[in-house]
Amino acid sequence: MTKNNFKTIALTGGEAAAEAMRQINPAVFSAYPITPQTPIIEKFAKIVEKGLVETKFVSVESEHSAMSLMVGAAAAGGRAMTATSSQGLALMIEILPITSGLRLPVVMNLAMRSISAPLNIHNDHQDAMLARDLGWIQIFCENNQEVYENNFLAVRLAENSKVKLPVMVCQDGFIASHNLEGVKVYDDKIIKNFVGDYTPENYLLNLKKPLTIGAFVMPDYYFEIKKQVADAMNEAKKVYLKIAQELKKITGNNYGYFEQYFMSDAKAVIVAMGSVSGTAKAAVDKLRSQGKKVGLLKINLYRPFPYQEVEKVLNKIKFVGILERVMGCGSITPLTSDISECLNSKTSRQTYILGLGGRDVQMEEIEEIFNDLLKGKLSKEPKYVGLKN
Amino acid sequence: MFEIRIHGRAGQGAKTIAQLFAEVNLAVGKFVQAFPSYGPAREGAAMNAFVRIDDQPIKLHSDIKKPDAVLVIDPLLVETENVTQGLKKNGIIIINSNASSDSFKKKLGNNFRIYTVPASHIALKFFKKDIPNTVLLGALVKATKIICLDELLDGTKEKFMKKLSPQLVEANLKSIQEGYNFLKIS
Repeated sequence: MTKNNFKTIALTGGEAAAEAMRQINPAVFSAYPITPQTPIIEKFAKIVEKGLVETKFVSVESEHSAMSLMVGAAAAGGRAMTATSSQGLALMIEILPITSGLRLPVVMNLAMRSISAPLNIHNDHQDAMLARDLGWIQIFCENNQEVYENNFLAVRLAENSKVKLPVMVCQDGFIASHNLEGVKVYDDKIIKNFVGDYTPENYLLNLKKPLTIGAFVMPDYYFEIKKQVADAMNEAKKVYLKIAQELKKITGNNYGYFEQYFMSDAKAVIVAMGSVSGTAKAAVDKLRSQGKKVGLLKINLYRPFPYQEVEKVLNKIKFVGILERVMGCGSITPLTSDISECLNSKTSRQTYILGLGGRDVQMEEIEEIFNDLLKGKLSKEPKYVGLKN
Repeated sequence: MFEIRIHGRAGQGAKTIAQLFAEVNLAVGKFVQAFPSYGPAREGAAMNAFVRIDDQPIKLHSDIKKPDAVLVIDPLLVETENVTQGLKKNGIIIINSNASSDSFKKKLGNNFRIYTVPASHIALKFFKKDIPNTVLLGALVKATKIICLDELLDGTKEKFMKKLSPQLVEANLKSIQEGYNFLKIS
């Protein structure tokens, strides 16, 4: 790892995704511009224009078309990538389960943003949550380095013969997508070697082995085919760790299902996803320096969710706080539902809803959450952090 | 950790200098973040850009509420925006203005180190245009000493050489130098 096989470059999260795509060299890229995904398509358009990749960049008139084009490109046998946000993802929804149902290894960069109405361009996780049960693998990123590296992981995972499922790499809109950070960009040769070429087993343009993709299926087979998608998701969980181990050999960064931060002796633990995990780490550092036993569980792989593994690390924790950038409308919020499945009767949980529509989350607010948890002030009702009266 | 807030109007290049300053710091081995805050963005509207610099990896992904330094690209914003909001006591505020720093004390109080630099005036000399940003960066480096002048000059040259004509690179370097020279630490 001490070998000088990387350059540290200043990149926004959006640019980090585009830089990763330069090294991945997809056969086809298509996206419709939408904020805050914009820096991804902007930077990648420049890369294509300069001839740094062989990618066919297809302009389309909507996200629905972009995603449909992904299906066509991947079915034809090409490596296909796209990017979007918010309403763009909402418009793609019709095609998302088609992609996973057809077992097409499309990779999408999602710059997460709120969902209208009211119209708002800023960050929360409500768009990503629209897609959480559609057969897409979802990986969440804390910072730009993770955005860059997770793209490679995503391509390998999607194209793995045991998986063959689409993957969504989720970064926080603006907070990551428009924030410039130093990113270690590894040598092209190393990355190309890691990612490899895509050689699909079955594809439409293979004239020696004609096949139908997207056939109508009667009740006698639909059920079985959906079960295969669920099985592939379970396989994806195993394959993810293997690829993450390989990636670690290059970058030294550990992409487990989750990251445990000062959890071993913690009394109160926050579970979080995305950039707020970084702010929570800073809060943990501060409270630890005051002798308070707090920790963080940062979820990297959200779908398929690592239920058994999370259960093992949370089963000795007394108080668990779950940070959600999502509004629950007549329901328990998504991450809380998942985490609740992992908790035994000795652990109490509390949901904290925060950061909606770009509402800032300060470290002091997370400190307060920890102090709240340590006092055992927990209830089944969610608490709203930073909400005005 | 050192945190900077830049006050400008959309189109004035606040985001660009935030990114430039972050990149220059990155080049000398520091850890950085640079981000704009977007309102309903339209040209001419007041906006902010932010820079975080540290010797350690930066974990925070929150807004900057208590900056160590503030740069004001458009002096009229002193009237309409709360430019010292959250600024730490004895924090640095550099305003692009021909007026004396004392003339801003009445408005901004005595809790801050107020500096004025006629950055637009200096920029007109080198660019024949009102682009005061690199002048202000020169002044910022003098006032804060986060990096040294040569590091700012080298980093700016390195970055601008890829994009700008040699004349414009030179004009920017002279702007930095003059902004640096102009600001006097009392």
